[in-house]
Amino acid sequence: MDALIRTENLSKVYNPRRPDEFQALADISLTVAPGEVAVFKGPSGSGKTSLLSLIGCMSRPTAGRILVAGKDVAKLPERFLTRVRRDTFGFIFQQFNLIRDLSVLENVLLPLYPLKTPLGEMRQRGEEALARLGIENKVSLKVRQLSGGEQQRVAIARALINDPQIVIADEPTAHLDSRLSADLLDILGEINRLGKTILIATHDPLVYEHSLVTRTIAMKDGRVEGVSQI
Amino acid sequence: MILHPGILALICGSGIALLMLIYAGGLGVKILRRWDFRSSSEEQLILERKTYLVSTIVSYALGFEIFSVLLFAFTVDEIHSLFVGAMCATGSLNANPLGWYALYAKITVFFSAALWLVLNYLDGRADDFPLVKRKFALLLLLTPLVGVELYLQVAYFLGLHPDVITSCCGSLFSESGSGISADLAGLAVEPTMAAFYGTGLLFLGSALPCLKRQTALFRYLFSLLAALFFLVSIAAIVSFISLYIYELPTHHCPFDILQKNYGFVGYPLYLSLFGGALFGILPGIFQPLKKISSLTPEVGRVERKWILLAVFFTACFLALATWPIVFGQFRMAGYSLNG
Amino acid sequence: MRHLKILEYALSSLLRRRYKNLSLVAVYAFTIAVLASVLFLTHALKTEATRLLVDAPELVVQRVSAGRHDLMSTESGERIGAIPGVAASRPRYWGYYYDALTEANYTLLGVESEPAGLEMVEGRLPAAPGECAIGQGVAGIRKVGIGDDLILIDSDNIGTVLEVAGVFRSPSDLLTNDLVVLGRDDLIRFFGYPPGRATDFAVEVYNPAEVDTIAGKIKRLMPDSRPITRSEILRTYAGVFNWRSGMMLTVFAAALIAFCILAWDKATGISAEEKREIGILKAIGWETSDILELKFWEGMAISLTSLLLGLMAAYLHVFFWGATVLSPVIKGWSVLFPDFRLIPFIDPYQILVISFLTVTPYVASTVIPSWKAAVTDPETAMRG
Repeated sequence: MDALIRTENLSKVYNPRRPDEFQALADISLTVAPGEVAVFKGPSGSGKTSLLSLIGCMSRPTAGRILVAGKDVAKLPERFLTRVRRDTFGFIFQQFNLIRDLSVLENVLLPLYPLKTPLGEMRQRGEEALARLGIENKVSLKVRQLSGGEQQRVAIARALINDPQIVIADEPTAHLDSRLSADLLDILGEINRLGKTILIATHDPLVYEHSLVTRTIAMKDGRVEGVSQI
Repeated sequence: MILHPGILALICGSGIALLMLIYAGGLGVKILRRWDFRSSSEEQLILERKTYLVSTIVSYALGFEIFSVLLFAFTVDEIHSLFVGAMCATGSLNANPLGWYALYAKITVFFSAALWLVLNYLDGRADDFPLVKRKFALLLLLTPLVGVELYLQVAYFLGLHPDVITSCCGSLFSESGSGISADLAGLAVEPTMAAFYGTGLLFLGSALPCLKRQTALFRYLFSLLAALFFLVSIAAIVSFISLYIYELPTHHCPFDILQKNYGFVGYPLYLSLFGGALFGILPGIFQPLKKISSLTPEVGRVERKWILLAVFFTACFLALATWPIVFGQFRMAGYSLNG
Repeated sequence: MRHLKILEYALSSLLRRRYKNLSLVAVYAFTIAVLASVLFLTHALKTEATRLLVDAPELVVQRVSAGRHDLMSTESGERIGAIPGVAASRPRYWGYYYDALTEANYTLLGVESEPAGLEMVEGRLPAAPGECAIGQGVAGIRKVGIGDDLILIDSDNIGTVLEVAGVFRSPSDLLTNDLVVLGRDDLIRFFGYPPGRATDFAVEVYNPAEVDTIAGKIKRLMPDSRPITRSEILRTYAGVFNWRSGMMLTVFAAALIAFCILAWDKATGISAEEKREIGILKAIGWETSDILELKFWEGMAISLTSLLLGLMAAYLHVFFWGATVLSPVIKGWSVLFPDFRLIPFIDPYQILVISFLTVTPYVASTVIPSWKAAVTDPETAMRG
């Protein structure tokens, strides 16, 4: 099966030619097939977040290629990059990155504001996404009134609102207890069953030893140490 | 100098706009020299970000310039009471010979600014910034034009000396306001009317083939007719339209219709005329851009809107111009006019 | 549709940071209120002047000698009356009087000059020698009413006693506030006019459109005369008011510039919270142009709100509270301050001018900070 994501000799250097120059990634080559659940595991500082950031079209590499669904996104200008990111990826950030003074529904609908979707349809999609995650009764509450687990569900709903092909989760269980972590992994499993590819960066064994994981990529100091297929 | 609030607003505004354009132009030059869209280097990224800045600054500056045409017309009309014998804006403009040049400069800037803004808009719709170099090169031409406009405005307003009792020795004669050009005013009515309506209907008619087919020729024709109709309309306003609005066979002034006692009808009249002309010339001017692959769909799509807007505005203009002729009490039959 | 959605987000974003934005709006609105007050006041005064001059004579002819105003012979008046197109030529007798007691200037007018457009409050015009009618300002400052005596000192340092027969109330106090109307002969005696002399002549013409032609004829007939038309007076008033308002506006330019610096500062000092928010928006798919549009709508909302508030405040200040702060400069210094009510009047032109004067600098000072915010790197959202 053709790889959905492929990187070739990917490198990323932050602050090049400056005193605080830092090589986050060096010579990364890997593939991810469609429908897979790939986990990037390693200690903090190993470059997981940087790698996801590159794959997810948040930033551009210093060298190498990234192909997403056959398209080379490494050299795309910013405008293109944003479009690809918006249409292909859904992000679940480590810090949730929700806007605390907005309501749950407003947060979920944020990605749709600059699009042509009419308001009525937007609301419908938002409510459906929240219902799928079991928090439809919290629609009008402000985010800061929610618990950690509920906030994460809102973040997931937001990530799914555009019906992306690939979902990227950066340390999703960092702020959760074991019960909520298990819940989260169940949700991710469901998302995977809908046909979406999932990329997770984590150093939590609860995640990378879970049954839904199909591929594990071990990283250290910006390099790939090993890849195991399950 | 007249420390009139409207004049202050115009000059300060134009000054700020010019400064903004010069700053943007400086950035534009830097961008032009190093622009390489295919490169994905850090520098190119910074340049792309800078283009947003330049576009935003220039858009605001030019937006002001476009609205300031209205402010200029309003102001020149408002200050006419300060000049002996001036009954409308014509009098104010005559008070200092630079006045007319300032007006022409403003109209030129209006159209140029509008064209640049459309160019910028199209550039923003394509994914690969196809028009960046063209845009900034044009900006370097537009900036001095705005500079000239500012200079003319300042020189005009500074050179105005309202006649007051103390300076006037008591003799009150001065030139009374007259039509822009005696020739225009003296144009025989019937042939001008025929030319006006003929060109107008031809122009409106030429929209149909443009909407039905994609042929470039129709668009060039459409825009040519738009420009032609604009010029004919100006002549027509002076020649006969104004006569019907004033209900006076000798009153040809194109500016009095901006005044209150005629219901400010001049404003919608001129706005619809300029609007129709602007949207009319756009399809023809931007037709060559269809050759750029990333722009073709966008130009095709937005072109339709331009054509419809041009038709709408021109129809409004024709309606406004024809209304007093058909429904007014003034009749010109049998009246011979020789300027 | 898209624009409306971004507008909606912009408004909600402003409301979420309401204290910062309210303070900005307050200062902005205040600046606009000051500028608008100047313009409204000037315009109202100009309108007022136009109104009161409606009853002024079409044409006034004075004589100029050695560059200064001099008395005219009644015979010149008759010559003027003989010019075709002139309906009437009436001599006027009037002058200025400086009252050392109150340090105020009064205008003395001979009653035969038939001041038009005056209503009496109480009493009547002087009908006999030794009587006078006075304006409300004079009555107030000298504390005299009907039946009281008004004493004026003439050029021989002799006091003239006039009994107040009536007090004026004119539709426009600008006209009569400092007026003292007395009998023609009393006035001639008071000022010591030689016989056969008048101050000037009020000329009526049959066709108002011909006034300039007739003025020209008068000038040719009598080269030392100075014909003044009503429209010239209006022009002078307009010119003076314009100049004063322009001057004030220039002064307030300093305030406007200070405001713009504030606006720049506020816009540049974008809080960490706001930066984070924009980073999030960029990360979830908002493009730079979308953020720029967001900033545009925020700026528009602030500008238009401040404009509306500023205009309302200026309206109240000028038309309900008499423009207490600004009147001295605009009206000119005088002891006898007519307390007249300005007629509320606004026209779209003024609003257009105020918008241009205030919105343009604000937009100019916030463009660059807005852009800086809009090009925030989406990766900052990943880093947290």
